Amino acid sequence: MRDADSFDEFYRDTSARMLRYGYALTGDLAEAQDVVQEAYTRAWRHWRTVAAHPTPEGWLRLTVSRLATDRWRRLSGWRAAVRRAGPPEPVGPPSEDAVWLTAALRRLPAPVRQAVALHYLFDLPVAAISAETGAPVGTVTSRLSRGRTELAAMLTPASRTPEVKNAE
Amino acid sequence: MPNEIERSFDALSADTERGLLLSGPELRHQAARRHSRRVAVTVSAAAVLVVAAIGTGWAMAGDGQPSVLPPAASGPGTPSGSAYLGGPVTSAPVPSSAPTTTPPTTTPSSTPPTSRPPAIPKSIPARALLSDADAGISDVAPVEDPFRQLEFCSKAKFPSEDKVGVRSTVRMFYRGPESEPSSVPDDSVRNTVTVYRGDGAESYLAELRKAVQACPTGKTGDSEAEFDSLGSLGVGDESILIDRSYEARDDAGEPMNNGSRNHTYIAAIRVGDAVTLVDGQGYEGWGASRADFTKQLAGRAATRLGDWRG
Repeated sequence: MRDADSFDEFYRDTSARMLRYGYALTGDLAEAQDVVQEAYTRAWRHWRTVAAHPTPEGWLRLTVSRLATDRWRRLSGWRAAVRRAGPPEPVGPPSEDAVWLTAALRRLPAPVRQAVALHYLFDLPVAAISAETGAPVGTVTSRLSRGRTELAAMLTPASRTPEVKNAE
Repeated sequence: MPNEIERSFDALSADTERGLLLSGPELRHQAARRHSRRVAVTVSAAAVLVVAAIGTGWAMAGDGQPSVLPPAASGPGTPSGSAYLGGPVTSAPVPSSAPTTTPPTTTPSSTPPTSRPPAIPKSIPARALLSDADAGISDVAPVEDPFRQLEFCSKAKFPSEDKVGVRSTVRMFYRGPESEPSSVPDDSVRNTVTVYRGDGAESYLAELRKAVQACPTGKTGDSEAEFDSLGSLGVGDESILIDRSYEARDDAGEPMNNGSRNHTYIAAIRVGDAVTLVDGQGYEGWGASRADFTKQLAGRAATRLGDWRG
C-alpha cells in the first residue's frame, strides 16, 4: 500500500493545479476534468516509474498537454458519451473573467498557450519551461512575449464588450 | 497589461473550483478495473486490441511519454458512411440515369421482367443496422463522413465501389458480457450496410478475400498491421472474418517485444445484393474477443441484414 499512499498524496497535492492547467489548455472545465483524470490514471498505472521521474508533476503536465491536443479534442464529444464513470459535471456556470481568459487562450497557438499557462499557473521560469517542452530557451522567451502581448490586448476592458456580445 | 493577465489567471484558478475530481482511491479503483479487464482479455484469447494503429489507442509520442490517440477515430482504414435512417443517403448513379452503354445488369429498363434485379432501396432502414437494442451495444450514432474503404495495402482494390447503390454507416460502443454497463467500452465498432447494383455485393466479398491474400501486411494509419482470413462465419449467403493484428503494446504504448499481438476483427456478410460490414476498431488498447465479436456483433449484424434483405 505504500505505492497507493504515495500516489494518493501526490494526487492530493497536485491535482487541483493540474486541473487549472487542463482548464487553461482546453478552455473547457469538463474536458479538463476528463483529461486530468486520464493523465492521473496513467500515472497510477506506471506509478513507480513516474514516482522515480525527476519531476513527477512535470510528467503529469506533459501528459495533460498531450491529451489536450487538437486530435484528442476533436473527438472529445464522442468520448464524453462514455464518461459515465468519470467525475461529475462542473457545478454552475463559469465566471465571466474565466470565460474571457479561456476564450483568449484559445486564440493563441497551442505552444504559446502552453508556455503562458506554465508561466502563470506554475510560476515556471523560462529555463524550466524550455526543459519541459523541449523548446529552446529563445523560443520559449518569444512565445511568452507573444502570449503576454496578445493576451493583454484581448483582455483589455475596451476589447471585451463587442466580443461578449458576439460570444453570447 | 501583466496585472490584468495575472488577475485573469487568478479568476480561472478560482473558477476551477467548480470542477470536481474523483478521489485518489476512486481513481485507482477505476484504473485497476480497466487494467484487470485488459489482462483478462489478453490471457484468455490473446485478443487484446491495441488501437494505436487505427487511431483509437495508445501511441508513443516524442520522448517516450505516453500520448493517446482518440477512440473511435475516423482515421485511415476506418469505414464510414454517409447516411442513417432518414438522413442523407449516399446513392451511386441509379440505373435509370446511367448512360446507354451501361451493362445490361444495370439497366432494368432493357432487361426482361423475369430477370430484373432487385430494386435498389432509397435508404438503409435502421433495422438493418446494429442498434442500441442489441446486446452489449450502446451510443449508436450515424456516421456522416463519406465512406472510406478498409485499408490493407496498395495491392487491395475495390472496383465494386462503382456498383454501390445505397449505403449507411453507424458507429457504436460495445461491451462484452463480462463488462459492466458503466465501464469503459471493450470496443468501438462501425457497421456499414451497402446495397450494390448487379453483382457488386459478390464482387466486394471476393475483393476482400483477395485483399487479405495480397496483403499479409499493410499499413493502417501509422501502424503496421497483419491481416489474416479466418474463413467463413457460416452466416448469410457468404461471409468472411478477417483478423487484423498489431504488435502488442503495453499501457504506455510501448512495444512489449514478446511476440504477442493485439487483434481487431472485421466481418463482412453478404445477403443477396447487400453486405453488412462490421469493423471492430478497438478501444484504448483492447477490444471485443473473437468469440464475442463473432456472436454478438457479426452474428447480430447478419441476422439484421437477413431479416431486412433476405
